[in-house]
Amino acid sequence: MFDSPARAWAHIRRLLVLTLALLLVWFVLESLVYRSGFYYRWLAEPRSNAGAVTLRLARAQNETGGTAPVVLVFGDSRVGEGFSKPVAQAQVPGLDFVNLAVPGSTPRTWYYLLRELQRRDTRFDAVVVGLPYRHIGGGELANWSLDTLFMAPLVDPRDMWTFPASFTSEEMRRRAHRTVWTPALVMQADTRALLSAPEARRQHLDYRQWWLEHASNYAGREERMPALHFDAAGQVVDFSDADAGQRQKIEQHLRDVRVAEKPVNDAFLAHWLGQVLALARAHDVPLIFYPHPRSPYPALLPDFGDLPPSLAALANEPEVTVLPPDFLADLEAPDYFFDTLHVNLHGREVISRRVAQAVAQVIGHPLPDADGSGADAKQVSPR
Amino acid sequence: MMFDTFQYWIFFAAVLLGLALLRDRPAKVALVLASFVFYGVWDWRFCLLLGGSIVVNYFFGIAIDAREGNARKRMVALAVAFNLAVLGFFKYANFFVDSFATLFGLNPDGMLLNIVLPVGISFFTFEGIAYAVDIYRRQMRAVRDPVDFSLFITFFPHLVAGPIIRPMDFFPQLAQRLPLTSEDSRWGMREILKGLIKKVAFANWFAPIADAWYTGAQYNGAEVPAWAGVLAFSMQIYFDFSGYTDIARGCARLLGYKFPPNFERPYLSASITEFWRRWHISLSFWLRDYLYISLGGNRVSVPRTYVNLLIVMGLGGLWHGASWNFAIWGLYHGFLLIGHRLWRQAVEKSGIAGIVDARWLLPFWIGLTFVIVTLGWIPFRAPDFAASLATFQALLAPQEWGFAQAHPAIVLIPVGTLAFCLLDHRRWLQDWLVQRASLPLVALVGALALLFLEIFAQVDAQVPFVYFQF
Repeated sequence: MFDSPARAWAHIRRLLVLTLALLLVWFVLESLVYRSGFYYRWLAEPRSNAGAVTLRLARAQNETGGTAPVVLVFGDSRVGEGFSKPVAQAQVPGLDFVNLAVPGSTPRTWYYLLRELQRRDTRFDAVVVGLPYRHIGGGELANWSLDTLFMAPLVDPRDMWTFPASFTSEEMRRRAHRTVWTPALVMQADTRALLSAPEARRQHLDYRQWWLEHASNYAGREERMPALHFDAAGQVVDFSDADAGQRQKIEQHLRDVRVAEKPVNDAFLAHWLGQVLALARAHDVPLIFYPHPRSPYPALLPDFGDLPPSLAALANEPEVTVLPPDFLADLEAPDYFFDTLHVNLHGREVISRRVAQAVAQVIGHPLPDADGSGADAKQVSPR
Repeated sequence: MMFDTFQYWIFFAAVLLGLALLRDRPAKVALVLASFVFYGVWDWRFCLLLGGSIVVNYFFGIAIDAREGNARKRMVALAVAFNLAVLGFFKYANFFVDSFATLFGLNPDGMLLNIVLPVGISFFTFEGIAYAVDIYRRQMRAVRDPVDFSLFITFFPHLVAGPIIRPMDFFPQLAQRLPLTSEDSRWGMREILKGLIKKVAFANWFAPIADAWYTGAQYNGAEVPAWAGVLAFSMQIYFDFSGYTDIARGCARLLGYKFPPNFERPYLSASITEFWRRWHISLSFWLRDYLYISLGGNRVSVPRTYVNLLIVMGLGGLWHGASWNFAIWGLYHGFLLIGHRLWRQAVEKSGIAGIVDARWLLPFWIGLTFVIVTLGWIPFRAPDFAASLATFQALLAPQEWGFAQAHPAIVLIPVGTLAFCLLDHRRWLQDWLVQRASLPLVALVGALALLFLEIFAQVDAQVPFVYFQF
């Protein structure tokens, strides 16, 4: 193919130089647009997965500028619906609660979110994580497909080994590599939508400002789930006044709660909650876990029992407080849920008050005098 | 191993680096072996067929070269028959059985053979025929080096979907190596990037729209109107095949070989004759040189010339696949070519050539040619005759144009491509990039192309190259 070694290597060298120059400029361009955060901050659809994470970063920036101790609250949509900043702060004046729950997320996202906040020198004095202590449903958390989308604004080439390796399926590892190396590819649907309808995107971006200003005041939803009647075998004998949509969700929920829990999911929690602990420890702040109410229909669920191995191990760490599994047991009732997963405004208020009080006790923040507002408060007796 | 997979590019980089360590003959041997690996990834058994084809054609070449007169003629006839038999067995056996059964009202089920079509068979058998005929015509001597001959047939960039390489173009490149320059590197990279954009961003975008129309499915939950389905396939096949060719040519150039062009902006042709000079050029030339001329070409009577044209285009159509639909497509183009010849004769005779060829009429002729070519793709893509007919009927009905509003890319991509062709008239922009632009500028343009690919690539579409099936 080549006449002489010199010519061969000259050709390879030219190709390498050209390829490297091209890749370098590509990397720089992509970094300027995406990795710098410019795209997510100014152009990304705020209602997208990456947009949701970016909004939480912006909220953390906006709400941690005061002098009061800051408590960051992580979780998925159950915490988003189930924790109210105004209620918590009314319960424990002098603490700033920042709800950073991301709908559809797992502890992997919370870890990277918290890491990003640390990199940005965000001030915080405690980290609270709300989650159902036992995962309900058949999914495998290690291969949670949304995680690669949430992570677009949070990872960079420094995560090229660890982030993909945290998935166990080849397909998800491939996607994770894409998230690390090709953010433009991960954001391609978002970018195409922006290019095809820039005016619509501009209007959507207004939502970002609205969300930052008003979303913390969200009161919660008023609907309640219907009371169901079960037979001895756990089958529903009376759906009460459930409409067709509710009935469908309930039936799915009943199937989910009967799925045997996978040990790999607890291993996943152990790993990522441990990572969150490492960050909290590096920041020298306490880490508090509270159990989100599992279901409006506890009759179908096993007793609370002991902590799962992941949380039991964490509970032995000095910086960690794991609130008992039955901490919010009384909220596992239709009156406190608006669907099968999320609590309504009544549940939201009770949870916020109790969690705020528990946090105050853990970090030694003075509680207000008993005046009736703390009627729902419980004494914390960590496990 | 497809050109639009990560696996291929790892393979290609390994081949490129490996060849840099080897000289002359060992490098050629390595390239042949790499080509067999490339081919064997589809199915290792295909390598046996490919190897057999190489051995037989190699000895046929020597045998033809060693003979004179009728013996020489008999030997070339045998060589052509062998290649056609291989092609006929693997590609057309079931087609002929099925057609025979249909003609005589028989049930074909028990007669059909369980044959897998080896990828690229249409290409390497045609190259085998070209080799035998060129030797017979004394345009070249038989190649004595089996490695050189193997490389001609197997060289992986053109192995599975062309371009169909002519022996006279390839063997001189093996004999005299020209030094690779910086221009070659840039040219190769440019073609590869261009090809990837054409395939992954454009062809794969059009593919599901065309598929939806021809399979009666929906596209993104909406009905596809006939005009969109037909236009989408016209665009898909161009971007798909020319994208493949660009990548093949780019890879070959980076390895030190030059392939002839296969597409020269065919949709900007002002007549059907011009279209066939610019579309799948390597096949058009092959058909002209080895079939049309063998049938007598233009040296026979006018009616016979027209019959020859129909034979050539009909067989050219069938070359694409074992289906009467392809034959119809070929014959359609045959009639168009005859019609265009008659039209030109009438124009010349009546003295209105000056008006007909006026520059301001050019867009009209280009548009007209594009429309008739696009209509011709209907039998090419439709699964059967009934579907072709249904598509023509649907085109005559009032059209739903809302699809273009919901999916503006169906208009933007063709219009954008046209605008680029106008801007890059005579390819001065592409040539500037290869010959004169500074390295930072080249890197910037390349990086923008990569960014474009990232944003517009249909990454999970998994659309195979259209011409792989031929």
